[in-house]
Amino acid sequence: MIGRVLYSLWAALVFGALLFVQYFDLASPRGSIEPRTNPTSLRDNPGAYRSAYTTSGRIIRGK
Amino acid sequence: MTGRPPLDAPPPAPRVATLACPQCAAPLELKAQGWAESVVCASCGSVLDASDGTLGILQAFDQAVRLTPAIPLGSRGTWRGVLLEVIGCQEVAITVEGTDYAWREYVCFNPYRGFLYLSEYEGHWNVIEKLQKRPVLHGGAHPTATLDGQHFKHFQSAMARTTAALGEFPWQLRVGDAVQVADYVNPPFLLSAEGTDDERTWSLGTYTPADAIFRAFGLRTWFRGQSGVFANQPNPHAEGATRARRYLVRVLLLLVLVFGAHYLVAGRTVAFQQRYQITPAGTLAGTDDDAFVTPAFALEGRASNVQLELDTDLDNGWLYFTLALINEATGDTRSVGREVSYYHGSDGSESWWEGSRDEQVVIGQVPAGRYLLRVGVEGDSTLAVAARPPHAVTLTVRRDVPMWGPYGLAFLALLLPGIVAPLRASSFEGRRWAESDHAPVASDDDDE
Repeated sequence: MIGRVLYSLWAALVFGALLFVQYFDLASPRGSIEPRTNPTSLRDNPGAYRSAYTTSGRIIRGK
Repeated sequence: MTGRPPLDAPPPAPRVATLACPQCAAPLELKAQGWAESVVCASCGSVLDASDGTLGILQAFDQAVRLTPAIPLGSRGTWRGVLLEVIGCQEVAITVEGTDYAWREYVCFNPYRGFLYLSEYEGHWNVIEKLQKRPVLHGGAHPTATLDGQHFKHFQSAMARTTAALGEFPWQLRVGDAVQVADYVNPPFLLSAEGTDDERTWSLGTYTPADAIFRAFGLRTWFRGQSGVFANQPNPHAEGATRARRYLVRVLLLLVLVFGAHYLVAGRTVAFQQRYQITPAGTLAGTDDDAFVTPAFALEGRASNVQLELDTDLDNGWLYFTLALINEATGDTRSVGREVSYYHGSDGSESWWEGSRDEQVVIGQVPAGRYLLRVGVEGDSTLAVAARPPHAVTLTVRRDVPMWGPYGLAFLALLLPGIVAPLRASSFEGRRWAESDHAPVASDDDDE
């Protein structure tokens, strides 16, 4: 009886955590947060934007 | 119990006789006169013929029996409503690979109901009844026996010899006599054959907790401690294992259902898709630009993830992409980088490849809004490579893509408690069968 209750509790906990993670999209990587970009000026000169780092930590070569 | 008189016959009157041992003249009391076939004198150990009351000497000894029964002879107890008295005890041993394994058998008697037997090995007790019918035997690599629809697996066969005895026995006992024994198990039952191929008696033992025996006979001294796993000892983890298996089936089925439901309801909507021509040096074809900005596209719904997909026709080359997802209204920017590389060739007669022409990267918790991507590209700028024709690169932005990683973790988390009990049950069975003729592997260090 106790075993059955523990199994049910554990299953409820795991499924609850799974649904929570999925609903709030906690499992996806966020990407590297960059300084805010002005889209208008970016369109005018895409090459002017330089990301400091990629997610892999690789430094983008500057011009 | 055996020896039960026919129901329509009047029960024989219990007879207790006091006689003298013809070997040492010590007084002997026969509790089962008329039933007992032999009696062992406690003073000199001689085995006497009790079948006709003359006490002829079957085996002569001249020293006291060194056997101390855990249930003293003369002890009385009630088992399943029948009053029984312990009238005999013998020690029986088998030798396996040079090691003696000894157990004790107790003869319990009720003058109106006959005999019942108890056996004890390493603190494990069985209540044994002689069978009037024979089970059906099946051969094979692992022989079995069937009795009343119940199947028993062969456990062990050996030559068992009586090494010591005390009291009365309903057969002509001889100390040192050996008989072939074979045990078949179906816990908590133990089906045992004793005798020769021509004459074999069968009995059915039921594994019984020691405390039940202790209480039944009102004993004051506790038995020696229990050790190891006995042949027909019920697996204490079997019920837990069954419950765990039921749990596993249910939760894994539920996990599959949730997985399927998630797959069906996940949007995976294509928010943007565009094909570009990019030179091996990493510039947009026809320009010197190593970066470009996509048109704005809408990401709808609640905050969820975005998958950026790069499908290329790379052939022995690489490109490195820096993808910045920019909210058109707020300017909030999140960037990721991915290298796409694909090389292949042949080494003699064997072909090989490494890398992939496709890559995906996910950015999570992206709120709804209008977004654009700034795509920066790096490539191989060496002249020989840069002169090659441009690559076709399809950039796809997909909204609300299911992430399967949490399902893997949930699977492991759900699995964990579900495998503990079956593993314990399996370990118990392993220890049981390690003591049998059918041990899975030879085990020298299993001392239980």
